[in-house]
Amino acid sequence: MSNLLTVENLGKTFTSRRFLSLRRDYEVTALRDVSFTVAKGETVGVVGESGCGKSTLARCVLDLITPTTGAVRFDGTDLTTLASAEKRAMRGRIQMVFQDPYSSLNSKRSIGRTLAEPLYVHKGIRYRDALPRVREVLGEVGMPASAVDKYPHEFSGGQRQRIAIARALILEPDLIIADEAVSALDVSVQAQVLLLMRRIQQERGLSYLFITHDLGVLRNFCDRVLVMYLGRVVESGPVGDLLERPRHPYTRSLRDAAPVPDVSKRQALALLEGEIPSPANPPSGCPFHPRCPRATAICSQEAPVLAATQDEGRRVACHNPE
Amino acid sequence: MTATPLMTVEDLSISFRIEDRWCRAVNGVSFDIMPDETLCLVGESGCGKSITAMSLMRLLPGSARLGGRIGFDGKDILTMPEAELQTIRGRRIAMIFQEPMTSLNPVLTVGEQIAEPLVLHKGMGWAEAKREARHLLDLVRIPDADRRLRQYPYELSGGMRQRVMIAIGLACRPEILIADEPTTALDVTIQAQVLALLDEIRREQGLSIVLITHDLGVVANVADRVAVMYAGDLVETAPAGELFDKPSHPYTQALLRTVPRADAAFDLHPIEGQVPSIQSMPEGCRFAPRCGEAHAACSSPPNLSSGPHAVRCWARRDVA
Repeated sequence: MSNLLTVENLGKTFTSRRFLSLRRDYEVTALRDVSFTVAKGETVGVVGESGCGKSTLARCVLDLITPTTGAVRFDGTDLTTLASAEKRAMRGRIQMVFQDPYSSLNSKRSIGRTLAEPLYVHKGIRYRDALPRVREVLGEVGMPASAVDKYPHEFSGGQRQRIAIARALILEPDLIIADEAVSALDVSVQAQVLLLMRRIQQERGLSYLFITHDLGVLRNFCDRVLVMYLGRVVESGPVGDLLERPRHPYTRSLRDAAPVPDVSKRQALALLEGEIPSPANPPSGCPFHPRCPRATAICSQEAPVLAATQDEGRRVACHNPE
Repeated sequence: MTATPLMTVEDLSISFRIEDRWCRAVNGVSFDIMPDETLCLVGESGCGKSITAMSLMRLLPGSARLGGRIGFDGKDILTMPEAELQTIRGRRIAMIFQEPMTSLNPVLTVGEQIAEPLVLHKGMGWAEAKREARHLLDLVRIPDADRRLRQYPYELSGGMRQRVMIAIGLACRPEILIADEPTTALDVTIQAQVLALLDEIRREQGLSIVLITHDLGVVANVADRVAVMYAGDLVETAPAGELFDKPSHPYTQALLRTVPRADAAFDLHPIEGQVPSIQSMPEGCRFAPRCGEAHAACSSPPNLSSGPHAVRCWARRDVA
């Protein structure tokens, strides 16, 4: 498989200027040295808790936020150095689906207009000419063609998310970035949307960068996974292997804290002490060391680098991996 | 179970008037709350679990029409005079909500908010109430309690805020704590901490917890008994072990097949269709339009069977 997306040493530091203050500006490093690839037809999951940088990562890949360091190579072209016209052309090939289908669809615009807009922006196709394609893509996500003249409030959350997926599909992208795309849905509807996304992938061979906090969804939808903590990738690898044999103590904690609908596994709910540190004031060395059961002296002094392990495709950033 | 229930909900129904028509959001729900137990009300959006919980303290707006009986201490909460209800609310039955940032008052300190119910319900002076508030912060394992008492909600993390909410709920030593999705807004590692805390407190203080959640993983981890709701109906109730080992109602079975699990990859089976809207509930069994086993009898509503494992389904009369 050839790599569709290659992210190299991506970093993003947000600077907050203190207005009329003698104190220094303060900085929040939301992403630090993130590298990974997404192959054609592959689903790469990004998992982590609040403040781990997973949404910043998604926005940097789309160049909605300009990264501070590093490169985003899409199909061989570095997006971070492109001129804006070329960037726009490239963007049609990368689309995004957001978490909240209530706020990501324009409530004052009909579904047809919403879906036709990308065709106008990217290809200059007028609404009337776009309608056949709009109806076709609605059918593809399991919505009736009559939805064209309706408005978002006439649909349930699951239906709205199908419409959001249709909007992402209409330009026939190669990569869809899904930022918690099923998190706001009820489980029965969530499974419908996941199966829809998988079917579309099989039919078109597109790739997903799938951001989630839900390990159950991750396990059942993704091929490979990046586990993030405070702006860094702490572990990566094939999803089944990584969750069954975590090498990083944080991956293990995350897995063990995820409740499983099985009473026989009740005792397993392991507790991780402490809270997630603020990205504005991260701990020294390894960002996980204050909560880590395996921490040693070196962990507070030196940040571990993400290094390959002897296992196929597995990488871990830990001084004392399991 | 031979103990007498703390609270008995009998044939509770809640209707709202929508466009000149009464619509039943909760449709004849019955269950008991036993002493020292965690009862989970579980279901998807719109199943009526939250308004059922609100009705246990009669917190619903005046526009809601309630039917049935909620027996507590020999009296009926639904018909009790407001003044008498005030001696129960917050005092003997307390409630905590999903989003601690919106349910905490942003302009009062943590200490003031924990002390307030003690002053109002127990008639304590503020100084005494503040001392008690400090004990409560210890109870919910918040370190550095003296400093925290002087802080405002914005200065606390999400997990800390939920601990403060729990402290407020526990202030008057209630017999029943109703928790509506208390961990839904939290990260998983923090969720695990808060669930463990609630369970420890329940055992130490001997109170009953009614936990409302949509997350079957959470249910499997904390529940003693479970009541599954769908579209305003209580469709199945059973001890937790039995519900997960032998789910009986077609909806419960379907729900368990649709939850993606972190410990195994398997084929997801979505439940086709959608939860019916409150304005167009099916006449008979409310799950029938989405049910693979629906037959002719399902066009009239089934009753909940009797016994500890009860099911509301025509096809499952024989389980309990």
